[in-house]
Amino acid sequence: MKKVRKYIIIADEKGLELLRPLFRHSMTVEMLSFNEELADQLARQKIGTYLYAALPWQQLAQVRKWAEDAGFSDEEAEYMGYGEKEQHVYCCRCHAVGKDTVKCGECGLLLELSDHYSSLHDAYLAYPVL
Amino acid sequence: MVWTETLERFPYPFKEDVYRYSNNSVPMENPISVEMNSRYVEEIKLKRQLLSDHPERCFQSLPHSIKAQWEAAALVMEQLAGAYPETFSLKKNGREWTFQNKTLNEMQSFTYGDTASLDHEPLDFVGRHVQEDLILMMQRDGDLYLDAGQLCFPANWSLAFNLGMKFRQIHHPIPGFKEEGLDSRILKFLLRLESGVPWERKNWSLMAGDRLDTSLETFDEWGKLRKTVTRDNAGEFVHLRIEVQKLFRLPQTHSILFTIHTYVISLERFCENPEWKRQFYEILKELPPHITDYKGIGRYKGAVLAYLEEQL
Repeated sequence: MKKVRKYIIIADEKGLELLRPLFRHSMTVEMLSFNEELADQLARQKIGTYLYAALPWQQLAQVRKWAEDAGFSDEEAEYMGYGEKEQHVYCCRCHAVGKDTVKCGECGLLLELSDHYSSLHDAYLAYPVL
Repeated sequence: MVWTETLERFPYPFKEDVYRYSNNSVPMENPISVEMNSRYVEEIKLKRQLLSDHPERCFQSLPHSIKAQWEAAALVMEQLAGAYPETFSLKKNGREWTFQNKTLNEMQSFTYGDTASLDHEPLDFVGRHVQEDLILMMQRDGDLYLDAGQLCFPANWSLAFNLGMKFRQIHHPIPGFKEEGLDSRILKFLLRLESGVPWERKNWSLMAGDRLDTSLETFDEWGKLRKTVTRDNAGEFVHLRIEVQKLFRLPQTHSILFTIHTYVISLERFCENPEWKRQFYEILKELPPHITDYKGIGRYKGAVLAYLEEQL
């Protein structure tokens, strides 16, 4: 018997439009939606399942976390976000994560934002202005 | 903690008159992950003070790193006892181990593998007995992850921020590192690192001042000093900072222990060796802006060159 890879799609209407170019008719696809059961549903998938998720950035971050907790590696998943992206800033001095890119809301340090990103903190590193 | 021993023992980092980023790792001649020198007591005291004052800055770990931490701690303790038997001993009775540090007059008994039998996590425990910073990289999904570390003397980076990152993400801020494909090549090299064949490399930078703790968390304090470098004070004030970095594969958990021993020497002292002075002058003069900027030398490179010219 020929083994067929299973694909999971997690997307809303807009996300589906983004994903459409990636799909062929021959793929075995299961659609899941963003809700409270998703973490469990992801955890029940067999090894080798491939995940496509296309959602607003904030939901996407949550799905990514659930998927990683369920053991999906970067090679087994593709994440596409859309819409407004909330940018988090990591203060290098006090480690507070905030939204202000100019001054740390916690310790008051004047910040210079960098493009160094941590997925653990979901934030960009900010250096002091010297 | 400035270098006061003879210059012959200082880990001179340069090979050629031109410096570029490269994978300059070489197999270790004397395969030991940690080394003691005359600054031992002083630096351990400073390390422990920093760990006590700034625990989040100096030690970080993810829960799944514990087994690899034990393996790393065992390697370090065994090597200490083997290389410095007059100072360290490690006695094993099954899983019941006793580690002794005679210089500090400390003795610790614990059950190997049982973290509750120590006051700190294993890497944090053993790191309090060595001058090195200890970084643990765990290997999975064809990548290396920074999953634990004890870091008291960083060269302007943050362990707390970098925790959990993949190798290439960690090195993202280095200009040209990715563009030249160096990040992928070094990662490939590290993924293939074999147990029993440790490697080492030296890294260098210049700094204004002589503190070992140049953490990113305190950059706003010490970074300003760069503005105060002049030709006249450069010899005393500017220091070369050398990191001797060592890489050991830990076979049971297939992770990598990365140790960093930092040495600091004043420019003045360094220049007592005329060949070092000449070569460093050539290197610095030729160094391209993307490297001077990343190493934080840009602002006072001119003053250092003027100082060196005067000495030549």
